[in-house]
Amino acid sequence: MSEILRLENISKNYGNFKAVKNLSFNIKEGEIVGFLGLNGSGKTTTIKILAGLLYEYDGNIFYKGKKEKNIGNKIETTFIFDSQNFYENLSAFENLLIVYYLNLNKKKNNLDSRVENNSQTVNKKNIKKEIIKVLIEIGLEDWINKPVKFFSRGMKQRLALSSALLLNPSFLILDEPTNGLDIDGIYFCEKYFERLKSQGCTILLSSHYLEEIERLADHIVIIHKGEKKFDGDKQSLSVLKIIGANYFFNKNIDKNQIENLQNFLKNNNIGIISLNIKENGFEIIFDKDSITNIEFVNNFIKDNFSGLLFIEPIQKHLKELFFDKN
Amino acid sequence: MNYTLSFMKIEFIKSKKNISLYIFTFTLLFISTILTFILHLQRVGLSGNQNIPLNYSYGGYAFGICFYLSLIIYCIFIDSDTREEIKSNKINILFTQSANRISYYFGKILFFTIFLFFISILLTLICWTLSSKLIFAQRPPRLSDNTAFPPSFIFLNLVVQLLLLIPSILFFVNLSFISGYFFYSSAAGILFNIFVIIFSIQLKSLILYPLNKMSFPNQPIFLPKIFDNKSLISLLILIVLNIIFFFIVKFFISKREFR
Repeated sequence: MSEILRLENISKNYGNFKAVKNLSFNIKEGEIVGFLGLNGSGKTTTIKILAGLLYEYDGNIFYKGKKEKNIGNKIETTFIFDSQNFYENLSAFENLLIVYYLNLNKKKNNLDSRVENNSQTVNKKNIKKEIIKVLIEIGLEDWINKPVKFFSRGMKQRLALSSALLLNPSFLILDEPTNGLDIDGIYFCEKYFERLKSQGCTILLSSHYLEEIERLADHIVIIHKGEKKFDGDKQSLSVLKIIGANYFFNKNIDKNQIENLQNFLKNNNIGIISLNIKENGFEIIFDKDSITNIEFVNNFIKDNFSGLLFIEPIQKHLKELFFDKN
Repeated sequence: MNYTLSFMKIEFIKSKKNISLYIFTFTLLFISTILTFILHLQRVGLSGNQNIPLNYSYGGYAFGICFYLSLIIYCIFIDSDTREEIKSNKINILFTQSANRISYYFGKILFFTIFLFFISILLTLICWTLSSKLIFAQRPPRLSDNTAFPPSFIFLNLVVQLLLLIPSILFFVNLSFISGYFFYSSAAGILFNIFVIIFSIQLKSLILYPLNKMSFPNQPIFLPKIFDNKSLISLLILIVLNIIFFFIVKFFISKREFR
């Protein structure tokens, strides 16, 4: 698969606040990339930079190998935002007509490629047919001529997604498309993304739902406080990591021994997140940089604590770690 | 150009469902009718059968007042419509498709310039038709040599002055777009628009110069020329101002960030 988009050291500040810090990742053609992070982690900022809605930033964007300021106006891309609002007084049909008018060349190309014998041209009748077909496909057949102000959130989201069906993009960028949707809506969206993927569409899917991203994405990028924390396939996100250990003894632990242990950790600069005393034992959770010293600590405990029965490592999935710390 | 037309079509689709726009328009037309009658009853200007040549000005007065009103109303409308599109994130749809921001600017200002021009034609028709039916019937205005004032002159004058109003309309539409797009606060936008229009009324001979010729002077003077050097200079200044606005918008429109 060839590379479609590459972000290189993208940084964006809002005044003194650093919303995105040196973010780099690649997207290959035909894959679904899950762009994961909590609220306020910098996902929407990154997508708005790509869309050209945020103009000033540091770093480079390469689209199909060519350096671009943004890809907002590329004919083959379509952006769908979580906060996307439609014209409330207008009907679903009229709102899609607006989307159509904004993508005139794209639609002409698409329609022309579908028209046989060149006998049919892009005219009002074709546009109407096409829009109604898309609205039926998306399940809004009873709402075609009703004002959007009467739509539920889920219906609005379906309408937003229908623009992708209408435009048939080869690169779709979605910002939290399932936000606030019910199970039915989420299921509909997921089926829809899978369908687009099967048609060869590349998708950048931003979300804060890990399960959703795990189900759909081939490639996952995790961002937290503007920094990239993970970039790889979803299998590697399920890898178990040791974060600490439980120490079990055949008797209660003496306070002096605990003090000795604390001094040992302090003297050797071994950072811990917590040390919890339990009945007949204790639990140590190491911080990220000190986890490599676990054997060293185990040896100290073996040598200095009497009655040690066994040591049980505490493991977590990589994905849990990201979200625990977040 | 394709996308400018697209944005004009979008504005048209929006306008068709915009009840407030209908209300503004019908209120204006209603005011223009009432105002013409009131000015007639109050005998503003003098009637045409008196020995003063060019005193049928109240059609023009009524038009002038309604035109200012329409400027204030529609400029605030354009300003708030643009700002609302930004604040409600509709701009995300408009700016992330194939069309570009300059087309958005052109589409919007051209649509509203045509719209305001159309309103001006309607206002002129109402004001002048009423005033001519009320006062010109049986007693046409006369020149100083007592010959009847040629109706063709009135008609030609109105048509030419209306056409000359287009750069003036574009000037105000441009300013209201700029305030809507670049001012974050609605109150600032409204104040800015009102200030610009009131200031322009003071500079009527420069920015709204065709209005002077539509409401003919009410003292006996020479027949005004439809097109003179002063008009040409004003026209030129307005065209230059509009071009300057275009370059300002072109330079800054892509730099605005939408968080």
